Amino acid sequence: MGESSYIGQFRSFVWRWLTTTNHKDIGILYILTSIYFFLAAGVLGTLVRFQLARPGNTILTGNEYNEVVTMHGLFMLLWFASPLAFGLANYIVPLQIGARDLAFPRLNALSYWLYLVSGLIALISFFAPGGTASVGWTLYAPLTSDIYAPGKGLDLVGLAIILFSISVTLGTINFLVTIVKMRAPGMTWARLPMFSWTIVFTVLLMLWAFPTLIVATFFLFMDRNLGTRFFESPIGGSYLWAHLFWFFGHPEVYILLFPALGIIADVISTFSRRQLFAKNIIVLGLSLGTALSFVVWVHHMFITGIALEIRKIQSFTTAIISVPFEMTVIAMILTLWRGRIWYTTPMLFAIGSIFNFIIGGATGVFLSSVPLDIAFRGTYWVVGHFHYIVAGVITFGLMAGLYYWFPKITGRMYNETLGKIHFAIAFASIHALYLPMFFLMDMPRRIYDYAPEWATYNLIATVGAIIFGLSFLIPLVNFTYSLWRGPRAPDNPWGAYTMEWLTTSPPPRHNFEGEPMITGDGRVVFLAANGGYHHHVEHHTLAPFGIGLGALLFGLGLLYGPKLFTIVNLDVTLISIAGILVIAASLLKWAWDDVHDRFAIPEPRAAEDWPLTGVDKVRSGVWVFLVGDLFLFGALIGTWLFIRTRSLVWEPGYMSHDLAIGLVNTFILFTATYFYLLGYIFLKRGNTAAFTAGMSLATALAIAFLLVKVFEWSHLIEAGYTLGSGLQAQLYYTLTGLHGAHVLFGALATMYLVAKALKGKYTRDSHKGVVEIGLYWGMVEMIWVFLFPMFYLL
Amino acid sequence: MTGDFRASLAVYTFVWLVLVGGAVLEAVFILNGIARWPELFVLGVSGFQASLILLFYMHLRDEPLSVKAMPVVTLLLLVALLASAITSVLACTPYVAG
Repeated sequence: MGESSYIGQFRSFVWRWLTTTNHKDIGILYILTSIYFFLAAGVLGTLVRFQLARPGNTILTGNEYNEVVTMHGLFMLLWFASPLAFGLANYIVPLQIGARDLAFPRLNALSYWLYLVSGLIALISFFAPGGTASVGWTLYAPLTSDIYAPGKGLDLVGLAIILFSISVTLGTINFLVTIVKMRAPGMTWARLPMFSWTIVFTVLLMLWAFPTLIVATFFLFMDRNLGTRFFESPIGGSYLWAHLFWFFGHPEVYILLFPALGIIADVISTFSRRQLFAKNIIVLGLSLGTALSFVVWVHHMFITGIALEIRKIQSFTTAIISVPFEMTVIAMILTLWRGRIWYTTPMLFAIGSIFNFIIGGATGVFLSSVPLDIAFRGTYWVVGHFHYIVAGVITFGLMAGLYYWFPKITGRMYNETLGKIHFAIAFASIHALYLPMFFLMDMPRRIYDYAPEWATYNLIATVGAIIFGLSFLIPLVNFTYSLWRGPRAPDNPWGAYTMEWLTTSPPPRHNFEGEPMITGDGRVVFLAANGGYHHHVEHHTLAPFGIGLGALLFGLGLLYGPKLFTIVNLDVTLISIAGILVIAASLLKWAWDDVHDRFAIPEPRAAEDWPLTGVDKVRSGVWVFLVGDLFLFGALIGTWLFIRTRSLVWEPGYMSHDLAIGLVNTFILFTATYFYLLGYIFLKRGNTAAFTAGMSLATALAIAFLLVKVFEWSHLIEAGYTLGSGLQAQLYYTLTGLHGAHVLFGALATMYLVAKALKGKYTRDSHKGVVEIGLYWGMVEMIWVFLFPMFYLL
Repeated sequence: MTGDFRASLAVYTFVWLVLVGGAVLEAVFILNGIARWPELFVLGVSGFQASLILLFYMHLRDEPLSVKAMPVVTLLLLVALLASAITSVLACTPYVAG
């Protein structure tokens, strides 16, 4: 082969992976990237244990120790555990439900690139002057203020978390719509495999938990760069951060846990040669766990002096949230009972997870008690407890998944002996690592040096950590070797029951030869495929990668590049501007492709889609997005309410703002939506000229709204009403600014409709996108009906 | 089709009038001190306006129960968050600047 053909192959290889939208490719990218971040986080964790091996160690300074602990936590929780689960879900869920891909393949690619970029920005923060974040993974205020955490490291971490949260939100929309709307005929909810079930619960949790994290990190970014004082003021401050963060933070535990439980359930069922015992009870338990997980966050705030009634209620909910998980564990043990157990590596990891879950779960119940929580929360008891869950259950569960689906994904068998050796070492060493921490229940956490009486247990934990960390080299070698030299994997090497095993290993690009359908007696038959299904050949686009690249440049621009101007404390550099331009160009390309229908995917025929029957894919996705957005603004409005309630002095809105301007803008916005709706009903009548006019008027009014806002802001700033004028002004600029950004996006989206209308894409029977963007306009207007009285009247 | 058009036009126009009227009403009542509990009054009017937008502009009334449940569940969770956060604030000593 000539040199040029190698170069050609390399080019097509790079092009494929940069532009792919196939769920299996994206899944592989997620898995590989999350393993990379796992190794990085693992190295950081081992460094922590090296420092704590004996008292008086000087491997790390105090600040370095804080940095390493902070980033170890963030990388493990955000950039390893959830993304590895998302990677497996990307690959496996469409196969398990009999779909060709996720509902929105481009959005899926965008999720991945934003995830990768967010992780890279977090890594780059290590090179920021002053180092990376060193305030603990919970980023407690006011430690995060620029007084205690100077430098750009924490800013980059904040930006990384925001990008990661956006990536997660997009993934949430995609998975929820896919699982609800794209199940093969006959794949009823009762037949849905447990892994797919747990992904449903996980994305529901993400949908309602991540908006508060976005709000919290957005405020943090503003505090540090634009001069607001949400978390530094005694009125907002640490209390506000704690509420916003932990409303996300506690459900995050279940976001991490659920996919692992789904894997464990599927693996145990397969290798016990039995149907999962009481599957309905497990699903019921997980749905209860999902609901309860939103009313337990205050147990992280028992020492804040929070109201006694709230403490009592959330002490109770924290105690009873263990019940659904006890039900799940019992059901899994009863599945093993009288099963014909096949002790493969995934099965060993699954059983190990259950064992660890019992330890980790039982030690967590203590923390529901207010007095015990106050005693334990700052000690190594808590460190032991949550590591048993995160490492012992979640990481073990994900390892079970990696071994279980390795043959399906790669088409090769791994070495079973090496797998079992990995399990044996990991299982033994994890107890050496975390069990001693329960005996250190009097040792404070978050310290880099300690008294000599705690030396023995710390040394044991460090030896355990080294062995546990090294044990993960075994699967690296095993998987890498097996990828090239492992025996060919049959389609169903485990004799498993779920649908992903009914296709080849690895599956073809279009997943199944024919359309899968499940008959009444549970058999799967494949019908002849229709032509529209083999759609992945042409489904390549650079736009998602471009948006990710732009975001990376924007992040890099916070550190490097020639400075163009400064907004308060935020240096805007040439690289950041270049990043924004790359994002804008990529979005334009995305819209351009849409206008030309380059990514039209036929809806699958006769799929199972209850309870969203009659609601098409895109509209379902928009509703899911709007729910997340509603929660985001709910958290923002809640912040306003929180601060207003805490303030004794509050100037009524009509005194600090011009009510006439507020009323004029309210009128403009209401009328914009009204014209939008008029355009829509004219289109349904077949009058495309009136439709185009309605959309154009709506766009013009949206722009007028923004111009009035600019006029108002400039006058207020001239009059000295700036971000430095106190929390009331900061809330005003932040909330109306974010709402203005929504209006701008709405105007752009409506322009896109006008462009499509001018190209003749809309007729009486064809109005794709009009209803969906109309829903968005409704949301924008709905938010304003609250913002107007908040800022102009009260 | 013409009937549908007229009915939709009537509904959209009526809702638009109520929305604009609601905003003016809020302003008049607050400025003149007519509303006894201004926050609750505003919450009531805004909540009513938001419901109209959801039901008639976003056509939630025509969606299946599962879609209707989405914003309802979201609002319930928000109420849980806000109730805990605000109750916790009310139990604390208010901050006085200076």
